[in-house]
Amino acid sequence: MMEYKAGSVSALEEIFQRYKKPILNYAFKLLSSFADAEDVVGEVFYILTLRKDSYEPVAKFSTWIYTIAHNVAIDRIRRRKRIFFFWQKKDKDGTSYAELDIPDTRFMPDNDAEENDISCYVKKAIDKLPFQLKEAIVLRQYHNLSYEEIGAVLNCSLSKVKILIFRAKECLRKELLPYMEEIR
Amino acid sequence: MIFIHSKIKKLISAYLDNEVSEKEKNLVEEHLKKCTFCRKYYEGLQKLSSTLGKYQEEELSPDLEQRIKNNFLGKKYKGVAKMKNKKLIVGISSGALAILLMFVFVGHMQTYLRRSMQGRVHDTAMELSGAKEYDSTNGRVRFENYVGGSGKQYSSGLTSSVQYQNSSKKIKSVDKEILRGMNGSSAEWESGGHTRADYNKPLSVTAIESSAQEGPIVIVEPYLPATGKEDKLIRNADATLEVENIQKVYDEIVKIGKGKNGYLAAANFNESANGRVSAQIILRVPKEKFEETIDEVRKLGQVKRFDIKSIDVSQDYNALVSELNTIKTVYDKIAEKLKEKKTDIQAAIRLESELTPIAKRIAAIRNKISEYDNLISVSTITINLYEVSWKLMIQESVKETKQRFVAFVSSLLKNSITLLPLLVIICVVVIVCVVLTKKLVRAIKNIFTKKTS
Repeated sequence: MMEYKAGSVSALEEIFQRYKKPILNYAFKLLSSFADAEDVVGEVFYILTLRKDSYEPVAKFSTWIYTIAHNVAIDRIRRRKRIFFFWQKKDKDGTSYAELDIPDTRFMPDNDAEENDISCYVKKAIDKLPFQLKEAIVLRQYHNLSYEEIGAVLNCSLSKVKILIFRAKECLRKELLPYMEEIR
Repeated sequence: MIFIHSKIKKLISAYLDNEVSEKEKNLVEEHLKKCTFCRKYYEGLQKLSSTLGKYQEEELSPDLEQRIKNNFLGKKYKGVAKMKNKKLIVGISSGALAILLMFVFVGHMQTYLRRSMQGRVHDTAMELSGAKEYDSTNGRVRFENYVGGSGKQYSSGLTSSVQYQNSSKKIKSVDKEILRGMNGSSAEWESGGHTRADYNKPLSVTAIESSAQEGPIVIVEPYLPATGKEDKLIRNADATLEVENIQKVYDEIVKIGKGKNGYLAAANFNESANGRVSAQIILRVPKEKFEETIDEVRKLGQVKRFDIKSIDVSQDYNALVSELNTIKTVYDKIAEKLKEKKTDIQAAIRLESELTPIAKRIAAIRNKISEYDNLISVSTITINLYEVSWKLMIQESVKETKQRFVAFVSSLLKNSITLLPLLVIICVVVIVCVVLTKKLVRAIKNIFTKKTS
């Protein structure tokens, strides 16, 4: 990043090649929408080019880029909530409102062939997690960020990160229990 | 015991991620050796961790990758920036447009409401009164009854006038009162000690509605009645209408005139410098068809002003007739004397010279009477027509909007200046509160962090 800050375009190319996939997967797990995740990747790298001068190597570069991705994803969710406001439908009892569910059909378990595919159950379980727990576990499990780095990304204390990850694991365990006897 | 298990469970989660201190690590390992329940939990979490790893990874589609590279890395096209700028521009312009539309709408609505209110008031006035005056410029409505009298216009006939503001509902009640006053022979108007018996003196009554503090002040100014079936009334109407197509309305008026056995006395078309087309048409109809004609004319467009005047010339007319009779008697007597041939030539010449001015006077009186007869039997309706001009309406609307906006901004400025000290105090209080809260939260956090570590 410092090379890029100094003016090297190839350094930016390298950053892109290294982080495009992690950012895409991070955003996809948070937003459950591939199109949104792709947009997030574009936006993250655009912001990166814009804010290159404000970057200081006080923390790891990954923390910085995940923080940007985290902010962009939150921004997306806020925008989506605004859109969903117009798309809301009434529940059967007519008392409460629920957001329209727009599922990602690529992960729907097929009745015949992929019923046992644990991947889609994992995805569903992660999707069900509250946003903060989801972020914490995703950053830990799939991006190998330390608790301290997660705290920096989520702007919270170390003890809170510990609790978040513990709760996320508990929720996932409960969700996946019906499919996996061994984690009981 | 349960407490220890739950604490160890939390530690196991961090232990698996290698995020525990040396002391915690020893504690967990010691506990796992002893407790089968926690060991099972540990193994379960291990399995969960490996299961979560099975989640398939996604790849960026090659075309999108290329696009992102082109857009953001090559800086050839700043899509997001453009999008954001576009959003900003759209936001600001739509906001400005909304404000402008709001002002235009408010201005237009006010104009519309004023017009519709005037329309309602006018209808009410038409229902209740034979003659009325309509002033649309200051939002006031004035209508007049003018029945009978001693001859001079407005001098001693019954004229009731109602000046009105804001609400059309009040007119009916006031007008009923006027009618009651007119019809009841012994009714007294309650002002200045004047009574109905003061026939020739104009009497004014001012009735201010005490309950209507916020709005209408209704002023009633009646004049005493004089009447009789043989009243000689000259009835004129003056109407101002706003129409869509002047030529069409002109044709309609001509048709109405012919239908009522009347005639078109004059017509004048004009186009002003600002492009507004107007016309003045004078229609004359027999007095029996006067009301019908007025009703039909009213339907031709939006009534902007309507003024009906009835001038009572009974006294003048009767005076002329009496004078004519008297002079005629004198004339006849002199003429008879001349016929008798008893008078000498000198006397005859003198009588002849006396007869000449009398004859002239008789001719003049007859002319005047026939003029009155003409004016009484045929009423005159003057119709002023204006074509609705969208351009002008927009111009007026914009002007009004501008005025409103200036008024709004100035009032806002005035209010802000008045409230400035209060706003400063509020701002200071809010800032202090925010700073204190932040400090407090930070302090509490630090205490908890120290405790947990």
